[in-house]
Amino acid sequence: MIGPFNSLMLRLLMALLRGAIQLFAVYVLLHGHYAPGGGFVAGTLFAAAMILPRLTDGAGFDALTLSPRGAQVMSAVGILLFAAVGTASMLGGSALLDYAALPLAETAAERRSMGVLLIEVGVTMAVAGAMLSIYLSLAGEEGAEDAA
Amino acid sequence: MLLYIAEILSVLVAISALALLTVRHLLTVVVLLAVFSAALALTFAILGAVNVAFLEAVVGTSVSTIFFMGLMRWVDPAALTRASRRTRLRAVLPTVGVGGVLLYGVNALPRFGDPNSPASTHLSPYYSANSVADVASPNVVAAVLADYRGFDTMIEAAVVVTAVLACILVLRQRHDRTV
Repeated sequence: MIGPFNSLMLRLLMALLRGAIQLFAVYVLLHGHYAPGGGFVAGTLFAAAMILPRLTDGAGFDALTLSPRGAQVMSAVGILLFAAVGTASMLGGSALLDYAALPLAETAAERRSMGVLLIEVGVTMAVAGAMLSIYLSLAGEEGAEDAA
Repeated sequence: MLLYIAEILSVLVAISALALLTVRHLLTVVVLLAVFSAALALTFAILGAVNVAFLEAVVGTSVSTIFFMGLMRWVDPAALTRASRRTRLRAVLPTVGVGGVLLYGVNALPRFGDPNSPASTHLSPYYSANSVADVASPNVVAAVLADYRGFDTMIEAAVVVTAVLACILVLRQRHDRTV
């Protein structure tokens, strides 16, 4: 059994690293049309940025992290966002998930591109919430929260 | 040239997998898993599957290692016992069997980059030719995943979340029992 990795160096490094990871996750999400990446990778990176501080400070203070319930709700909301975009394009008079029916941009191709971005945001939320939930329940923090 | 590097990397994958079988120290196991996954990710990248390589690097190499490092805090290595001979045998037999079937099946696959293989004659040419016109997305993989096969991806994301919920339920049971 090893103790919590609690040292000043680690915490300082983690503060820098966490921001960099989150920024990179946003880049990967928004640049998914042009470069490798997209929702799954971005979601995993967001989850990593939320888990790493927990390794150094224990469950410590972090403004950008979520409770176990919050993580589960976020992953569910991600799926719902995906399904909502699909249903909205159906309401717009087209097939399910054919984003050309969404009133987002001028040409059909650009509308589809915006639709892809929207559902990638949903995938990101779903994956980030899922990864964080697994870590939190492995760490047993869920039980602690329920008891409190 | 690049393909030779891919071959060297796949040897590295095999070596790290074999090393995993012999190593007893937990931290070494975690690091070896990361090496295994990193070599795999580089192989994917060289073979042209950059999206898959990126995902392997992020999920397999980084986040899995973070998970395992986190778990080390709750695992006492001294309390771990080696599995019995029979359990090990039961694990080895199916592994070798499935691995053998897969290796046998590799022979029937088309050669790497074969333009006449079924994978590159049916849908792929359409996706490559039309993804910019249809979706305004130069990354064909993103267009296929999120638009052409959006329904598939939606259900896939739902599967991930469902699997995680199942994990949480199982783990909660374990915590209840210990407490």
